[in-house]
Amino acid sequence: MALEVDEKNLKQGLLGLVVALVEIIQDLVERQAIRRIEGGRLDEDEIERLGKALIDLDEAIEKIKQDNDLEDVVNSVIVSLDDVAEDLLNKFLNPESWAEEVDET
Amino acid sequence: MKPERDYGLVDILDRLLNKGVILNADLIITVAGVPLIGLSLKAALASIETMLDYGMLEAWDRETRNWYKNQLMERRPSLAEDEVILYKTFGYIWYNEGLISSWRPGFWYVTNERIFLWRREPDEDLFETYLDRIASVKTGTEIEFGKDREELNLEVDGWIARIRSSDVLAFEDAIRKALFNPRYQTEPEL
Repeated sequence: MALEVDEKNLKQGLLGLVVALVEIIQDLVERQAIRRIEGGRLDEDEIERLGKALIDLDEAIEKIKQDNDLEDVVNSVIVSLDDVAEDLLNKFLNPESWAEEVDET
Repeated sequence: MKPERDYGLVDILDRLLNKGVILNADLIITVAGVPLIGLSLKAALASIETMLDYGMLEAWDRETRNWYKNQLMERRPSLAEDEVILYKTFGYIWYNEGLISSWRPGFWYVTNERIFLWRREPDEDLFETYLDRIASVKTGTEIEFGKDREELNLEVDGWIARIRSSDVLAFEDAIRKALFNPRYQTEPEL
């Protein structure tokens, strides 16, 4: 499984790759933020600040994506990263498939 | 259309952080039956919420949050002696100079003398005008990301300041009230 960066449009491809990674981190941070908020240890002010900061981040990333026409590139990078992750997880969960793959080659 | 799948990279990482990972490794390098170098590794990777559930990093979490809170408390915009804050809201101003064009965030203050946008970190007034220099106040809409966004246009010295906040109408109302302050109504000429 390889990540493909379109050579004809290097800038868009590379920027798309970076934005995709940023988006994955953002997604992860957002989920953890929700966990912290639901955990009940933060006060209202902290929750509000956290929410605002995440909204600002989201808007900024959306804007970068729009300005550079990156939606498709970013989506395809995320899909291929998900493929890699799914593949790896499958191999750990059922090692037989790994053996089959080795036999095939 | 997005392809359906049970779990993506983010789901796996999220699960990993929620459960937490502990690594414990002890290693001794021995030469001729004599231990010479020792390595004792203890590592934990988890979301803070999980760490706290297990009683780890509690003090650090508390101190970090308190430190930031104190930082916020200490910073206030500088006001003149008899200046009173009439309205305060979080918002933005459109900044367009040279290569840079962006919405700059900060806290909008309407006082009995001025309207200004104050940024907390680093401490700076991003925009400032005295009430008597405001020629007009208008609201308008701008389409962004397919949605209508309300914005406030302030005409100052022949220049239009583009302003955004969560409640543009309340902001406009506050400015109009401040402008009616008798202090800035010109005396009728006799």
